[in-house]
Amino acid sequence: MIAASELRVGDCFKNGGEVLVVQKLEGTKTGRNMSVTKLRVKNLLTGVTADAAYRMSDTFEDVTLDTKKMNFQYNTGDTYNFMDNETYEQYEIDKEDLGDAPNFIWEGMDVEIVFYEGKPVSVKLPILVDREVVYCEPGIKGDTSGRAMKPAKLDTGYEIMIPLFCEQGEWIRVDTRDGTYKERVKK
Amino acid sequence: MRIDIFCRVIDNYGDAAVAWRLAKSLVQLDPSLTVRLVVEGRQTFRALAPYTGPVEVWDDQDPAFDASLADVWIEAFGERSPETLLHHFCRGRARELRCRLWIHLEYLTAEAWAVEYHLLPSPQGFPGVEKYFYVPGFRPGTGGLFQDQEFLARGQHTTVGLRKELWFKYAPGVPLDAFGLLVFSYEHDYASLGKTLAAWGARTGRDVVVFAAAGRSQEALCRSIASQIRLVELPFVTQSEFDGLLWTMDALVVRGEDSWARAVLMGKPFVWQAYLQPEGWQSVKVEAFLEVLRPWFTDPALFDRWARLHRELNERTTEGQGQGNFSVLWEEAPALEKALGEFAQYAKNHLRLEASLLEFLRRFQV
Repeated sequence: MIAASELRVGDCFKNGGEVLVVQKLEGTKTGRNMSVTKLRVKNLLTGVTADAAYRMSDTFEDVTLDTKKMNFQYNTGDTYNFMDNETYEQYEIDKEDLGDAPNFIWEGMDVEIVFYEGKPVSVKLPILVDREVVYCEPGIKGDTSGRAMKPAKLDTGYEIMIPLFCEQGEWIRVDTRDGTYKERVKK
Repeated sequence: MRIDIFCRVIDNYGDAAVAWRLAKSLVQLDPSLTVRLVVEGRQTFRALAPYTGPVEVWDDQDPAFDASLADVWIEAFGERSPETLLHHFCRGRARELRCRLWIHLEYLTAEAWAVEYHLLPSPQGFPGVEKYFYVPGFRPGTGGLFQDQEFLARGQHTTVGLRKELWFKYAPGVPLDAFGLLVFSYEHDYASLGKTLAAWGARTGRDVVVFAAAGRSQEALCRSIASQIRLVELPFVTQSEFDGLLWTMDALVVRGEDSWARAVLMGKPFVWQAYLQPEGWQSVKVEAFLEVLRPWFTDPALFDRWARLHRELNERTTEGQGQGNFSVLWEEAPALEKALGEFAQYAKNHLRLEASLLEFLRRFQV
């Protein structure tokens, strides 16, 4: 069994006989230290995509699908192209099946591709990725609390909220589960 | 339609208070409904509501209870897993279930996510049973606030009339025209509250009295302000009497969910203390609430003062931290009543949880 709190983008689970792949997820805290999560899931049998809400403690039947390490090559807008690192075979995945992953991947990045009945259906990302801030307003020295935030753009095109003290050109660590800033990193 | 509502009696009956309010409100709205409230601890629940009228209240350990008879399950605050519902409450009768609709009732929040999560499906893999999130909130597009017509009707009575009934019982000798403040919060250092309220009373020549509701704030409150001001230690009272007492007050310090929603609907000056969460996450909830209320204040300085008090009361990582300048609650009472009263009116007209929920249930024709 797998709990909703353990799910990540790209994971598959079985619910009432349906095999679902997580395309997107976000969590939030409710009252009394409880948490809930909103998932965008694709039904691998019907191809239908839907949003659903769960308590973090809800559990599902775990489904283990084949995965292969592949290299992200390029995107054409609607599709993303990945190459098998061993066979050099190329696979395309529709952008909508990747959920939020396009926000955090870059050309040349190695990722895990999930296969269902021989077809690539999703991508599994590392929990943390390091990306460059390509645009933000100038940093404010002295504010190291990290509480006050400002908008910024990463080299993947993703727009994110970062602390005021961060500068353009710096690298930051991003949590791919919820797309939030974690910390500054030196490159 | 047969509706089963499941809840637990924890932490001063907060969750059970909400579930009970929902149960009786649904029957008030539609007397043809059969509503059963299933609580963990039927005996302790009696302290909250000794007379439950047409609502059946069951103990969750009662072997005679059978949830497979209900058309709708409402799971207050997600206390029950599917396995528990199916195997414990339905005695494993998966094939005989009448239930077609299962509602996960969330905690009240002013955060924007309430709009996104409200009415989202939550498939559980039970054939024929659809589960949905129902999220109470303060924004359009959320589930709204529990209104409870019985509670609102109490507000139509004159304050003096209610005070005669309840102050004579719980605070004999307190002048009926005194400024009454009820405190029902989590642990907090209330030393400054007693001093400033007593000083204001002396300055304005008005009698002042603090009612310390039973619960986690009572002991600290009595310890810190009993020597400074007239204090009434309330025993644990029924929900109906607590509602009446709330209506007799000039200002309120409330907490958690149910008393918070009551204070909002009353439109009286109040401050809300949120349930303590790890890493001070309660502040996120408080800020969201302040953001919702901000547009209802025409005086930014008044809002800032009221908001500051909320932050002082809520920015804590352990219970009992912080002080807080509560004087805005009495010094600015008329202006606060105007701003909060207008939001209360809006909430009563547009955030009607029970009516919206009933409409949603009927859509499924269960």
